[in-house]
Amino acid sequence: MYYVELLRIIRGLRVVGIILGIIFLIAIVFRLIFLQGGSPDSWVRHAQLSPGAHVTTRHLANGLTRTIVDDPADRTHVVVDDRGYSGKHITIIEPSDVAQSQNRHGVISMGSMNVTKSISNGMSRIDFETNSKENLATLFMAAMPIALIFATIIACALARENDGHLELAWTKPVSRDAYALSVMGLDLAGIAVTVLASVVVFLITTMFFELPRLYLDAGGAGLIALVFTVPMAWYALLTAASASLRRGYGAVIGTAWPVAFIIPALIGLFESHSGSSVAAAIVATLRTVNTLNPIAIYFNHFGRTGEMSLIPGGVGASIVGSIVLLVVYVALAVLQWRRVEA
Amino acid sequence: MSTISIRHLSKSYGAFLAVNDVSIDIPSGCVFGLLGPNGAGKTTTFKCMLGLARPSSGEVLYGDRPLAPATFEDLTYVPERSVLYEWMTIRDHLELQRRSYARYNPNRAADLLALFGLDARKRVRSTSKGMRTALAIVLAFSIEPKILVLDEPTSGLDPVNQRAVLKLIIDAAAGGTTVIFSSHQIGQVERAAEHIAIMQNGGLVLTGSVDDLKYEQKIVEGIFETDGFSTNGFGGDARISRVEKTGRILRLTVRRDSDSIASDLNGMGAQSVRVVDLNLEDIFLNAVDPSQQTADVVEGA
Repeated sequence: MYYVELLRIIRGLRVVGIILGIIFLIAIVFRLIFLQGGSPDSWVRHAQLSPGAHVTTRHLANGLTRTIVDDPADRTHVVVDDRGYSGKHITIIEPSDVAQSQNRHGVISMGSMNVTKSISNGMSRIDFETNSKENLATLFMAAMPIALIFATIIACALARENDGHLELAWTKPVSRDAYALSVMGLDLAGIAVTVLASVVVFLITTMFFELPRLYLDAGGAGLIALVFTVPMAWYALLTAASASLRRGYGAVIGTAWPVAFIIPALIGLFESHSGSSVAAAIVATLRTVNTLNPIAIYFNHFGRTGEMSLIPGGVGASIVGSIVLLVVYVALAVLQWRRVEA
Repeated sequence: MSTISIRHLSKSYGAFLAVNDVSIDIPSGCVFGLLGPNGAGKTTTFKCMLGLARPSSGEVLYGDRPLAPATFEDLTYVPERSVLYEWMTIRDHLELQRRSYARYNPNRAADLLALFGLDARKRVRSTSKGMRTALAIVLAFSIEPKILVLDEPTSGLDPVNQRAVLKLIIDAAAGGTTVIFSSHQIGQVERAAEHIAIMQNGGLVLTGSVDDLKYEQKIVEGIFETDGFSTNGFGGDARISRVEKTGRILRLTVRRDSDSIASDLNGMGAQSVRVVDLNLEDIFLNAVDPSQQTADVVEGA
């Protein structure tokens, strides 16, 4: 009965597969670059092999294995604290290429790896913290853009039927409501599959570099829930907006993304004119409109309480808000689907 | 017993009345032809029958019940234009039928594919109009329905496949299926249909069994020595619905007493007189537009 939608989902998942495949290939390329000497471990091994290097290894009382590499000739000092499965802390101090007069400081975090680099008085200090604990929600949040892309690809399912196929869709032994709900239910399941598939790929990609030490707390669980509900609500929004259209659903898809990002940008623009009553009225209007936007709700949890929409900040409110939008949009889509005629 | 009863069906789009108070009873197990010029309201009638469009008034009953989702277990519809999914293959469409209908018969589908020479691996977008029509026919007949609604089912088909579709329709009816179809090719309707309804401007102008309609009216044709014969008197004759004079030929469409009228022509000095049955095209043209006749109409009732 819903075979057509199943085929559409499979086509959409192929696009997801291509995106994830590209990410996978990029990860392999990065891993190969690391193998060729870019990793902290390889750098330490290289330092240990230097003719002037003096290496000492001790087992500390707290379970750490500390390796110190001193190379007076190169003015290099390396300390490696090996915590076993819990990763390593590596400190490398060496002369810098940067002029003595310049001081710099920078931090880069990539997954479970954290790199801090500072340059002072012609010497550079780099601290690598590897395999630090990572919230499982981070992997899910990385899957959010892909889930949104997939939701957009398969959205407007009812309008696609209305584009010349109603005579096939509506002459099946099933009611219109059941048909619409089943089609949307399948699509929502497809979104869930996309999220999970993306997380699996990201997990494997992470494991190219190190075994991740994942943990999950209540906040993380809430974020994971949002990663499912927000793309689903986004899908439902596009489907509801197009359910009674025959050919204009492409325009709905095409304009949805710009609108979803232009409104928050306009809010930011007019908020900067906080003294103006006109600007305040515009911001209030835009915030109200933006409340209908599930993507805006997702950004609520980052703490910009009430700035982007009327839904209060916080993960809990965002989850409830996105679920309410999902249910309302699905209901609106079904109501319009009932009214359509072939 | 009627399988389908259409009662006082009307459908308007804004101010435009597409179907106007149409009532038709379609007997069970028959082939029913719905005829009418373009824009007569045939497709809209079908859509209202199948719940694809909401009637403005009236009702359609299947047996004694209104249309319900379960009705489609035993009913399929082939619309006038292709509604197939262009990006799907022919096999995908068959799989859709298999998953949708309990009555789907894969062997029947395979036979029909072979009959029309369709390659199941082909995508619909790479098929011709005729192949799409053929696929729609395959899909409809593969579920072995009890009711078939076909809107221009031979559109785009070559003569060989048109004949094949007609045979399928007749065979299906012989097996107890009620077939309702529309066609602009009146010869096809005449060959297959037992009952017809003729629509024009949204209204029903004629309905009945093809045999009865043919029996009711005859053409009496007389050929005279010169064209100087008089047609006076025929115009007021209640037995005659149309009088046409073309040169030496007098052609009378009569409602009854065709033999008596033939004798009258003999009495007028006609060189030869013959009584012929009306064909469906004559019945159709008489019903929808008398001006379509090629001969000069000199008098009419």
